[in-house]
Formats: sequence, structure tokens, C-alpha cells
Amino acid sequence: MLKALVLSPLIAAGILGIFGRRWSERLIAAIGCGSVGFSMLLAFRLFFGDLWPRPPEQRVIWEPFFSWIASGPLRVDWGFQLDALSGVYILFVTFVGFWIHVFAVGYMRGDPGYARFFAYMNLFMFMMLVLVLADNFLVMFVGWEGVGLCSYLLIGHYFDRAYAASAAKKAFIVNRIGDFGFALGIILIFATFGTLRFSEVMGTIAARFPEPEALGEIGLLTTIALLLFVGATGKSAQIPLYVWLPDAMAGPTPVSALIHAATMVTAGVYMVARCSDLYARSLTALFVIAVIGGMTALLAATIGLAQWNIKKVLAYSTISQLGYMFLACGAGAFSAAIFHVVTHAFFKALLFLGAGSVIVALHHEEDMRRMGGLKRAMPLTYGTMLCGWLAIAGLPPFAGFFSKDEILWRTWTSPVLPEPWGRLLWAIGWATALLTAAYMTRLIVLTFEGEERFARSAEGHALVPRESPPVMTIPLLVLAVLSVSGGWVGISEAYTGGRIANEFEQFVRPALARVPVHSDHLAIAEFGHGMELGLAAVTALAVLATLIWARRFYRRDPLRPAPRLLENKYYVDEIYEALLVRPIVRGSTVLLWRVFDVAIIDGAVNGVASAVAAGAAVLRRLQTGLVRSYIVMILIGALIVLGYFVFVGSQFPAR
Amino acid sequence: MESLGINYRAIGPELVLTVTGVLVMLLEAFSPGKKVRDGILAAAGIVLAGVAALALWEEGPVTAFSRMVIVDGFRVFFTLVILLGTLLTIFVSWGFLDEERIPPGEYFALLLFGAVGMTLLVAGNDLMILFLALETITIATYVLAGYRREDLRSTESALKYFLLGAFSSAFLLYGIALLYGATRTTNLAEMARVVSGPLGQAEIVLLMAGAAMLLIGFGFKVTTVPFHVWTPDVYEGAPTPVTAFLSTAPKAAGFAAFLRVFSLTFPPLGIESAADQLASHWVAAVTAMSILSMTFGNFIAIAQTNIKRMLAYSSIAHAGYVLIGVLARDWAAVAFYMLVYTIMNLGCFAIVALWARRGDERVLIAEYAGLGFRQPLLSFPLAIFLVSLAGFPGTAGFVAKFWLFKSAWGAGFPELVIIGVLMTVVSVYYYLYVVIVMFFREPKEEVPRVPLSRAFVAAMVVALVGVFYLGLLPTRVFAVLNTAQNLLAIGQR
Repeated sequence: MLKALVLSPLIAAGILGIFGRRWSERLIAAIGCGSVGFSMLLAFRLFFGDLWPRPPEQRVIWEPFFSWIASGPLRVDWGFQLDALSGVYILFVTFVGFWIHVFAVGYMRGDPGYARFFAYMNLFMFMMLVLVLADNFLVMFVGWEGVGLCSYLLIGHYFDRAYAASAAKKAFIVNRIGDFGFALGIILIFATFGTLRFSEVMGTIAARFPEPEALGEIGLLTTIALLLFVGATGKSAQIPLYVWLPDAMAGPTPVSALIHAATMVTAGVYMVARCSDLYARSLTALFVIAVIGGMTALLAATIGLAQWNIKKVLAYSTISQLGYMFLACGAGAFSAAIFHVVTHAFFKALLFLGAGSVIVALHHEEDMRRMGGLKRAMPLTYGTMLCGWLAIAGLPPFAGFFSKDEILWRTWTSPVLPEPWGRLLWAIGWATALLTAAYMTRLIVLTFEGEERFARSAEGHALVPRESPPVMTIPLLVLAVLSVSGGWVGISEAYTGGRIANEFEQFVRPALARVPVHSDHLAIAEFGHGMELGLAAVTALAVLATLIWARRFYRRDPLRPAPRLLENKYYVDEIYEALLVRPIVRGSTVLLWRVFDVAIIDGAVNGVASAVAAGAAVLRRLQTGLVRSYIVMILIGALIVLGYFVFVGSQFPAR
Repeated sequence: MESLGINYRAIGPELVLTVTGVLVMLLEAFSPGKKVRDGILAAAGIVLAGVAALALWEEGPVTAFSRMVIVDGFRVFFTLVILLGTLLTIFVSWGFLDEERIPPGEYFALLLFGAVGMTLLVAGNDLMILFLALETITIATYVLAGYRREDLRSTESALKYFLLGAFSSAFLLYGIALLYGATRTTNLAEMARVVSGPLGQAEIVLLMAGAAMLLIGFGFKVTTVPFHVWTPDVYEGAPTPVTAFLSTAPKAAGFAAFLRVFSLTFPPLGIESAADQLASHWVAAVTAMSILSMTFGNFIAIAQTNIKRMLAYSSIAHAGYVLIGVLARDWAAVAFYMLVYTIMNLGCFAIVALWARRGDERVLIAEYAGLGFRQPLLSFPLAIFLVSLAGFPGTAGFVAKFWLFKSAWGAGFPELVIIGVLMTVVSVYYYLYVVIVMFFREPKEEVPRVPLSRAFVAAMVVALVGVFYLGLLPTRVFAVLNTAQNLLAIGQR
């Protein structure tokens, strides 16, 4: 059944890719959504019918497919593994994916690349499911690269826009830098453990490395863990590789919602959780992850305050929320990270789709300076967006509150972070929560409230925005319900005084590692429920105050200019360009090409030059001795090799 | 005096290819211009040679013809790779022969004679045979590179190839002479025996100088930096189907000889011996060549505007990766890599050749703009081959690289693996650039539709199936190679 679940979108992608161009939009939409819907039904059936009823420690379903690579000691199979962790993932990936597909039916209407779009979207779903269900690192890597490729194809969907093409390229290349670390990590894992199966690696790790590597110790496990994490920073847009995600918003909005918010970008978090046994054995890696996560959360939130493009705000907010998830991982609270992945998928998908609804209504206007006052024309979009707003801001009882609060609390009490980093990172997370409330309020005010600014700027004819059709608003409503209630599955036991345990944590715990407890650290039990509730109340009240203040603040002057530094994203893109990109390109053109490759023909025959003139030039240059210069180069190389062998190599060894 | 060991089965593939080549040439002389007849005959000869090679599979390591020729799994596998490359080249050349009005029989005969040299190179167990085979290859390929006689680029390319090739052959021959002086033999097995013990000071100097010369000669043939300088010009100037051939089959043969001489004859033995002393130095030199080829090849490829030149630098970079396998002394990984590389590179060049039209006019990367959705039967396969060259998982290129790197890591070359993976990341930039131009750039003028010949479609199908079969289900090929590897190891003992 796992195979059917995974293959259904692939088959649909193939059909749409081959025949789709001649079909009507209705048929394409039916196939595109139908295949994902089918996967969703199977996912629900598998999860609730098969996985859930089992006793917690037996919640693993393994389905081998066929043998992929068998060479000497290396055996890698195409195999799928469903356990509590991947179970949670396939549930929300197929569910959110299905509703975004439905939304896209309306959003993409009339697009010349309709079939292509759904083919790529389905292909993406397939790759994402492969990534999540893989039972070994190599198959996961296939999915990992595959989702990147689909992301690239979908960002570049509007291939007539030069900006989209360059954004697509940037996303792909930045991700490949991350994959460099990931690939090395995989090779190192094989060299260390002799296998790439998750169950075998994670199962033997405790026996082979009984003691976790201490903070500051860069041992084998820390090296592996950090290399894999480099991959995660690429895919999940963390410092220093986050720069591709805001640009990725050049793609159609459903793509931003599905790939660049709800699912693919959380693959890094998934990978860390999947390898939690490994990470739990390296305190250095956990510390690095927590600090990077916290820093990213704060940095992205500040940039989010100053963006004018509605999708860019949401993009930075995604980076910031991903930072929270890594903060949780680094604090050793893997279940809290996964919990936030799920709730974030609901409310961020909702926010993006809401933004998409607005963008369509305004004829592809994305600048919030030319929005405003839309709540009258688009009540449904406005209402659902409000749910998303309160959910991401983290107001109880909305979904984001429970997951974010879990993360903050687990950071405060983290048994693995050295003193006083737990508190420090908690403070960063807390400040980020307030910033989140502020920039999201700004987004809501600029878009929906105040006076209408679009009529002024639309050239020629006045713009009359209308509410989107039901095919787009129904997904909004569904996701709004979950943005309100999605967090209730993981309510901390503190709220019931320990009577009802955290359901979500109980469920995923068997699939995740438990981190070691510092001997010099206060045990968790010493922090009482009272303190947890107290901190939560403080956070909630501060968020509420920020929401009220920010609303008043931005209503007074919505277009107040933002600080330059923030609006220009701290000039990180420019710094990267100047420090990395340009030197490499210039180096390869000027230094290497001109100096080492004496290009003859390129200079003479470029394009369709006239054969006679070109020929004469070539002959002339031949006579002036370019072959001779080649021979000189070879000769120099030969003399070095020869000299090395004869003069260095002929000495009798000293021993 | 041992027996001559005449055994015609042992040179079955070479015999079949030679006879076919002569036959095709004679047919051309008496009834010229029958492309289909000659092509089918040549292809049949190649297939038959493949059968003859497969028949040797079970033989295990034995020698024939006074130990000049060896029969083992190593040779059979590389022979098959070369034959596949040659066969695909025939398909790729199909349309080109008509456009350029080339006498088909002559062309096919040259391909076949080139293939004879390559298979013999793979089979050689004696330095004299290796030299003979290399010269056979180069004579055939010199002519092929200059096939468009009226085109100055093609002529220039052939001339350069000839001059520099002759230069490198001199190194090889001199190296062989010096090695003979050091070990009193040209037979590789005998040589391995001699160097496994200590040698006198004078012999050591000769051995070192000879090995260095050989390394230079092979470095030229397999296009590694700093002996690569001829590659971009020749690859660019030669007719594209010939470039496709040059960049695949002869390189596979060259790497086979490289492995045979350095990895198998002069292995690091770990005991005090001439071989060990030599090995520590050739390993250092090849490490340097590998790093230089990977970095220079990949970085210079970024700056290219001509797709053939870009693929030439990519070919230099891939030679750098393969040298990692030579260092790891895992010939099976190298053989697999060359199989995969032959398939994907020929696939790439097949499309480049078709798109370039008559006279190789459309070869700038910018001229691929708009190809994407206007001619998907060209653009999608090209994208797949490029992505496979970049080592994307799910394609054969990934599996080949993974095996190579894995084996090098196990053999104690982690720094090379790190550089290799890093350079793979760099390579994505220029492979992807072509894809971007095809799909995301608007063309300046109307994109013409290029008709697809049946032979081209056949080549595409073979190459695409190969890329995905070896990318998703390589197990069977792995098993075959591992068996051969074990047999060879036993035979050597």
C-alpha cells in the first residue's frame, strides 16, 4: 500500500507530462488533484487503520521494493519505512498537498502551462513522499535532490520572466552547496557503519558509541552530524544558506505554499529528527543547530518587518519559523520540532494561499503598498487570513501557540545546552515571537485594512477586486479550521496538571531519540508545571500586547518607511555576490580560461563568421605557433613529472 | 622456450572487427555510397565482436600469444564498453554522413579499425602491444577528426591532434624503452614480478624515468591536466559525431591501459621493493593530476560559450574523477564509470550533433534558447544526460560517482573524495546553464524543427534506457563486475 501511495502522483505526473498538453483544464485538474487525493486517502488509511492501533513500540511498517545497489559490503534497497515520524509527515504532506492542489486549480486557470504545472506538482509530491518514506540515506537523497529539482522547475514556471529563471538557478545552486555536505555525510556514515539503512545505523549507534561526544569535541559523530546539517541549512533555508528562499517566491503562489512553506523546506528538520539518535550523541552539533536556528529565527523576523512584497514577508516568516524548529532540535526537543512543522504547515499554507487569493484578485499585484482595504471585497479571504495571523503570532488557543510554546519551554529547560544558553536562546525565541506578531500584523493591516491603494496605482482602468471562487476559498476554510485547532493534539500536560499527557509527543516519541541529561544540569522535573504555565502566560500576554500595539501603530501610518538596512536584507545578497560569486566567475574566465586555455578558435570563429576570414585567421595563428605553445605547456608538465620521478623518486628510501 | 600460445579465440573480438572493417572498405571500393548496407554490416560486426568477447567471459585470467594478450573479466568488460561506444557512434553519425556527403564505407571502416586498436589496448599484456594498439587508435582517429576536409576548423583540429599525438607517442615509446632497460622485459606480468623485489640504483632511475614517461603518455590519451591542452581545440574542431566517439571509447580504452600498467603492474606492495618505491610516487603524481583535472576542468567549463568546448572541459573534469578510481585501484568502479560516461556523453553529443546541423554551425550554448518546449524530444533527453553528467541521484551518473567515491574513501583518499564532491557541485553550474537556456530563454529567431532520423531515435532510446537502468537497477552489472574482480584477484595471486 505504501508503494501505491508513493507511486500514484508519479504516474499522474507521467500521464500529464506526456498527454496533458492537449487536454482540457478540467481533466488535467481532475487527474492532478485526484492522484494526490488518492495518496491522501491511503495515508489516512495506513495511519489510522494500520499504524495507530499497534502498540507504540511496534509502529514500524517496512516495505522493500527492489534492490538498488549491491556492491561488496554496500547494499542499498529501494525500501519504504512507515513509522510514527514518517506517518505524521505523510499525513500532513498529502493533506496540505491535496488542498493546495485544489486551490491551484483556480489559481492557475488560464495559464498556458497548466498541464506542465500539475505534472511538476505531482512529481514534487512523489519526490517528497520518497524523501519521507525512505528507509535509508541514499533513497532519502534521491527524494532530497528530487524535491529540489521540482522546486527549481516550478520556480522557473514563468520561464518568460528572467527574474524567475535566475531565482530558480539560485535556489538550485545554493541547495547544491548544502548537498555537498549532505553527500559527504552519507559517505562518512557508510565508512563508519558499513550500512546506510536508518534502522541499522541508528540501532547500532548506541552500542558503538555509548558516550555522547562532549561540547567542543569534534569527533566522528560530530563531523557526520554537522555535515548532514550543512545539507539541512541548504534545504531548510538557515544561515548561511537561506538566501535562496525569498527569491524562490518568483514561482506561482501555490508552489510557494506547498514547497517553500509547508513541506519541502521542512525536509531538513525531518532529516535531523530522523537522525536524532546521531544528533543526540553530539552535544557540539546540537549546540550549533540551536544557535543557528535561534539566530536565523531572529534575523529573518527582523527582515520580515521591512519587506513590501507580501510573499517576501511570508518567505522570511517561513525562514524564521524554520529557525524555531531547528532551535527545538538543537535543544533536544525533536518532538516539539516536528509538532511545529505540522502546525506551521497548516497556518503557513493558509497564509500563502490567502496571499495568492489576494494576488489573483488584484491581477498579480504583490506589492502591499498597492493593496489595502480588501476586507470588504474579500471577506472570506480576510476571515481565514485572520486565523492564520493569530496562529502564527501564537495566541492561545490557535495552533501556533501550543507548538511555539512547547519549543520555548523545552529550550528554557534544555538538558543539552550549556548554561546559560538555554535561557539566552529562549530570550531570542521570545523576542522573535513578538517580532512575528508585529510583522504579521503589519501584513494584515497593509493588505486588508485602511484605505484602498490599488485603484490609484492601477493604470488606465479601475481595479475592482472580487472574492475568489469556491475552489480557492474552500481550501482556505479547511486550512483555517486546522490553523485554529491543529495545535490541540499536542497540548502540554502542564495545562491539565499532568493528568493528560501530550498526545503528540507520546505518539512520535518511539521514533525519536531521547537526549542525554547533563549531570550538572537541573533535571526537568525540578521545573514545575507552574513555571511552564507562568512563562506561557507571560509570552501570550506579551504577544497580545504586541498585536494590539502593532495594529494601532501600522493603522496610523501603514506606509511608514522601513529601516534601510532591514529593507535591503542586511545586504547579505550583495555581500555573497561580491565575496563569492563574482570572484569565482571572474577567476574562471580571466585567470583559468585566458591563461591556461589559449583559446584559438573561440576568438576567431564566433557564431557564423565568414569562413574565409576566419580560416585565414586560424592559419595565421597556427603559423605563429600556437601548437608550439601547447607543446611547450606539455613539455613543462612532462619535465615536472619526470623530474619528480627521477630526482625525488630514485632516492633510496631513508628507512 | 615457452610455446607461442596461438589461440585465435583469445583475439576473437579483434579478428571479427578487423574482418568487418576490411569487408566494409572493400564494399565501398566496388559499390560506393550504400550507407544502409555498410552501416548494418558494421553494426553486425560490432555485435558479433561483442558475442566473441562475451564468449571469453568464462575463461578466467589466461594469456595467449606468448603472454602478449590476456583474457580476463577486466578486458571483456572494457571491450564491451568500447563496442557499445562504437555502435552508438554509428547511430549518431547517420545523418551527418548524408549531410557532409562522406563515403559511408570508408567512415565506418575507420571507426571499426579504431575499435580494433581500442579492444587490443584493453587486451594487451605487453607494453609493445599497448603501443601498437595506441598507434592503431590514433591513426584512425586522426583521419576521423579531419573528416570535414573543406572546413578549416576540422582540418586544424586534425593537424593539432596529429602533432601533439605524435609528441605524446614519443614519450610513450621512450618510456617503454626505459622500462625495458630497467626490467629487461616488456611483458607486464613479468615486469610486475621483477619490480616486486629490490632493484639496483641504475635500474631504479630507469624505472622511474620510464614510468614517468608512460604516465605522461597516458595522461595525454585520457586528457588529464596538464596534458590536456589539445582536448578543447580538437573536440571543438572535429565533426561532432567524431567528437562523441573521441570523448568516449578511446578514453575508456586509455583508462583500461592506465589501470593495467599502473594499478595492476606497479601496485603499492607494502614491502620494500621497487614497485613500492615507484607506487608511492605515481600515486602522488596521479593525485596531483586528478586534483588539477577536476578543478581546472570544472572551473574553465563554466566560462565556455560553445557547447562542444564546454563538454570538452567537462570531459577533462570527468577524467579527473576517474583517476580517483585508478588511485583507489578499483578497476571495476572505473569500468562502471566509463560505461556510464560513454552512454551519457554519447547521448549528449548525439543531440549536439543533430542540433548543430550541417557544418557544425549551431554550437553556441546561446543558440539552444527556446529549444525547451518547442522540440521536447531533443531538449528533455539532453537535460537528462546533462543532469546525469552532473551526478544527479536516480540517474546512472550518480551511481557511478557514488561507487567511485565510496571506493576511494575506503582506499584512503578522503581528501580526493571531498574535492571530487565539491567539484561535482561546481559542475552543476555549467550543466544546468544549458538546461536554463533551453527552457527559460526566449530565442532570438524562430526555432526551426529538426527532423529526427530513425538511427538517432535508436541511439536516444539506448542511451536513455542505459541512464535510467544503470541509475535505478545497477545491481546486475555490479554483480557481474564484482565476480570478475574476484576472479582477477584470484588469478593475480
